Amino acid sequence: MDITFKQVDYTYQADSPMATPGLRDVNLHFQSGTYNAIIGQTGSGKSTLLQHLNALLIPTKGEVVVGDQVVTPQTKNKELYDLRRKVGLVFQFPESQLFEETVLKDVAFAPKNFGKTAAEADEIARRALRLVGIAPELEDKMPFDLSGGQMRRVAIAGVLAMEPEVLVLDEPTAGLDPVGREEMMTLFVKIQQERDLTVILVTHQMDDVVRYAQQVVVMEQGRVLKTGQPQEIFADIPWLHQHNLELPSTGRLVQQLQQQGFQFDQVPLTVPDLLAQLAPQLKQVATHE
Amino acid sequence: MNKLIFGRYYPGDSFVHRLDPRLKLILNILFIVLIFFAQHWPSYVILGAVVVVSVWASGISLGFFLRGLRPMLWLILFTVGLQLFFTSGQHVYWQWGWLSISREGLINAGYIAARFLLIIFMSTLLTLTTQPLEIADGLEYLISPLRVIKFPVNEVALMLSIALRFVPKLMDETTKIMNAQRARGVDFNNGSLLKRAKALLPLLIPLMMSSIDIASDLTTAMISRGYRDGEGRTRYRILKWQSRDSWVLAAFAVISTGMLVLERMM
Repeated sequence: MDITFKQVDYTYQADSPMATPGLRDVNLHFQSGTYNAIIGQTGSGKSTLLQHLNALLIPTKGEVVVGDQVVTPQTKNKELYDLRRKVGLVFQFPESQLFEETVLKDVAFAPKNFGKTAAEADEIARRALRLVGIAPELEDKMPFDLSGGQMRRVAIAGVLAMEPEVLVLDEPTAGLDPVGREEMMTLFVKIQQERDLTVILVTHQMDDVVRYAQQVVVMEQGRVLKTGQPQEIFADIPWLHQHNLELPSTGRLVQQLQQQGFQFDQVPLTVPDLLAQLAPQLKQVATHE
Repeated sequence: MNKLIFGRYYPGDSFVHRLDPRLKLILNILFIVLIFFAQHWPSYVILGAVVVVSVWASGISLGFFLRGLRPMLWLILFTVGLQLFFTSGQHVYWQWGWLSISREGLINAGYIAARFLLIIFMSTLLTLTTQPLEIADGLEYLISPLRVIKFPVNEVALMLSIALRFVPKLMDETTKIMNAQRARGVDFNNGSLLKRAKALLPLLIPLMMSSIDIASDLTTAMISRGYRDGEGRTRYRILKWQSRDSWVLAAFAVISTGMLVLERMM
């Protein structure tokens, strides 16, 4: 599903002296089936933006178009049921949303809410659990008896069980160990490709951004600062420093290599890119000596 | 939930904001007691003037105040309605079955409405101009004489300040879980009473669980930072009684004596 933001403003506690701006004049387009990343410092409005994607927040001005649904300030809550099913949102620390007696019931909760029968929902839940790597023996356990990492997986399975067309991830790997992070991120790419999902990821891990994203959105103080491919965003290192954004780890290595006299015509963002540009230069050095 | 301003803090630096929280607490209690002595309308004029002057001195606009208390209106109307229809009296103006409007009922209802409004205004002003922690400090000071009867003042004060500190945190957590469940298709606002009550389960259980988590983390953190119990600790925040606090107290004493004298004469 294509998602478009047209001049979206959002103000928290509008019409009160405590009113605080959340989003300012946001214009964005997420193309169907692409992997998008949103970056920016804490408090830059990333999470506010995410909540517009399935209309948990409704713009105070402008409109958000998700698929064929248009969300404007006048949109009523009742019209949004269908939208919620199509957009799956994984919040930060999603394990805090678990509540059912068993793992299976919790994952089957969303499909049941969206009109599936109990048997269908269980079937979908089982598939989702396998997908995130939860063994069948754990299905009848209480969610609260699981480890932190397993709870996270169950919570994510709970969202995947909605079979959404758009998957929105708000720092899905925060607080996970490196192996768990790697597994989760690979899982998301796999699901995205299999089901042709539109993925929108909020993260502070620039390595994930350069590895997976096709489009990057940079936010600052509720505004969109820049959008583009990772290559364009990470090319201008002084600009990144100016806006307190981190470089991916390859970028940091490239900086050090440049100080040692290595030349790069374009900042390589992934390890294969880096190697490809580095290899000829190393050979040159070797032949000179 | 967001529209009601009762119990919230409105940041500012006005005369009322800077008053000692103990003074504000005492005045609030005295004001409420005083309201119940008022039997005639001139007293209500005086009390009303006190409220208006206090709101003015707090630098908060009256419009904001009125709008914020609109959700309370139904409660007031309900109580006033009960008084109006169910008070029996001599002069009956209107009657229908066992519902009747009498002169006494009318007067009673008027008084109830005035009392309600005055109390709500004053206590809202207290919370709007006093930080929760200041209220906790003030309360701790005010209940400290109860130590004599072995009342656990320190523990209660600690519980109170932790509770106050975690109100916004739990509110955030509630919003977050609500949003997560709404994203999973829970409808909190529609359906029959039973359906709505059922929709609360996916909110309440995670909230309980996270409260337990927070509590156990917080206790561990407190113990590891050397907390044993409330006895023998020193204080970081110390309340200071200023001369302006004495002046305000004196002014209030004069006004209330005046009002009581007036009541006696009528």
